[in-house]
Amino acid sequence: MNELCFLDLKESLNGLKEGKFSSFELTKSCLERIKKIDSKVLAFLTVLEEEALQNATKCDELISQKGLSAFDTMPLLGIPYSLKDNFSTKGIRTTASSKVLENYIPPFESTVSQKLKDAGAILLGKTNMDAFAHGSSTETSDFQKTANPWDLSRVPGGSSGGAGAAVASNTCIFAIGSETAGSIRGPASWCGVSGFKPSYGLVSRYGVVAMASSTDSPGPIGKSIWDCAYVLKVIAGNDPYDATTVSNYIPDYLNTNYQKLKIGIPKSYFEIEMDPEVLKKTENFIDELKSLGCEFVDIDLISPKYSVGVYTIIQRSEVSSNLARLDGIRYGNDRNSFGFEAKKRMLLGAEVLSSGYHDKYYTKAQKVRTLIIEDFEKAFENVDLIISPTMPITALKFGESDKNPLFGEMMDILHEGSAVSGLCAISIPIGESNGLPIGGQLIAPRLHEEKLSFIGMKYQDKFKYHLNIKELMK
Amino acid sequence: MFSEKEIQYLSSLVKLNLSEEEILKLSKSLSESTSYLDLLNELDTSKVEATYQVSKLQNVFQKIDLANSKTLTQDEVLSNVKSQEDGYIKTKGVLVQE
Repeated sequence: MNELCFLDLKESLNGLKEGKFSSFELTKSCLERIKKIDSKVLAFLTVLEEEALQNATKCDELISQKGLSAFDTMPLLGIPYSLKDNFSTKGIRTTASSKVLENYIPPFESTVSQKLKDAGAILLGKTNMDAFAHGSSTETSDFQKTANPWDLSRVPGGSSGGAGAAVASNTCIFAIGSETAGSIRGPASWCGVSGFKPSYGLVSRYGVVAMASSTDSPGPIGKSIWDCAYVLKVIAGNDPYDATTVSNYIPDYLNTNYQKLKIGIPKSYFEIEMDPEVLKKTENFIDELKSLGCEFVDIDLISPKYSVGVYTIIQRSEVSSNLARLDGIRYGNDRNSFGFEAKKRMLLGAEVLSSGYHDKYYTKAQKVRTLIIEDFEKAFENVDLIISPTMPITALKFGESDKNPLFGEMMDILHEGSAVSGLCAISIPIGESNGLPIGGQLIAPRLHEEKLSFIGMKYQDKFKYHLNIKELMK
Repeated sequence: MFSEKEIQYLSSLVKLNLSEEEILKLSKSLSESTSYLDLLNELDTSKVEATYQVSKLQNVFQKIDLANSKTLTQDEVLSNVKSQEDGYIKTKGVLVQE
């Protein structure tokens, strides 16, 4: 059977369970697709062909021995996936797309990749990203520029650009990315796939190369919201090795039901500069959700232009602290190997934390963060979800990101408020303009992922924009 | 604009050696960035507490559980070290006078 790699996770699981194909065939199909097209997309930094096929064979043996019951304890048995290269993988090079970690082989495994391994998922390879996740285009990678499968002259978004491009080009069944503010939602939007940014603390950060520790949230990018929700269930939960993870939280994202969801339209989010086509498609998204029984009301939220400042200050501060550990002594190369973007961020971090400026910038930002959190809390007293476009524009050509020192922050303007507040959100394909995909964003209160999975799944049952990636790079 | 001296000072705080060209570029980019950050002054925060983390968790301790400990072995710790001797990491002298 050909082209198994075009299946989504749900179809892949059903096929494996029904014995329509083996994990070996599914994995082989992804690997062949990588060979065929990834020299153009450049989503992968490392491909683990031999290991993946060996693991697939083991999965097939388990399935033939135990039958369907094998899936009870291993819910992703035999499913090939891609992992962003900032997740530590024991014995497998992990670079965070930076020359500093060019030859770094972690002696330990991240909690997320360990959970996926325990669930039977097969690691196909590690995907490209902005170096240390600094960016929104994946162009700051020190190794290669990932292309957008919809138009190879354009960027996939970032920082999980390799993850988004791998899913859109059907070289994996699902991908794991991570988000600080926009790094899952952005590439999902620009690559026409589904992205699920979990609440801060729902998914463990243990073993993830740290960017901004107070907002880093690992999460799935997939071919549908069902796929993302299914994966999220596997990777979510308490981790004794990450003290900020939720203490006791048992989610069920796939079996919830709401009679009616009330969704807020924040005026300030629609007033920013944006592509008129993005606005039009978002209005259409609202109409489509209305047809599914959602009720809409206008709400007021603090202008996202303030979130940019808050996020920039917090993130630069945490970046300059987190990157301080990279001294080239215990692992990695020395500090001369940092790219310009990392240097720029560390310097701004040093500036906003330095004596004389600490209160003016750092403390001020953390106070405005409180205002933003309270603002969301107030809004969620009256609505279940908040809607906006995911990105203000569609995917840019290569080279555009260099023109503004806060490029990433301006691109992620619609994500930063929810990111610094630790909320959860999805990006979902809602149509295309000039051959480029547009994503719609829904934001939910912290630890209410089930509202997002419910409406995302319901939407994709009826509106099938997420299937259009099947036509890419045939 | 940030002066060359200011950029040099900041780079010393984060232990980076910068080229002349990088100093020039950074001086421009940092000025543009900080002027955007000043927007926050439009909001009154005189009666607002700062939020440093959103988990609302306090005093989280890890159980001592040696059986499940993730402590690395000496070999694992040294596996990425470029310069080592007798099981120690070998570094340049740090107490050398400049």
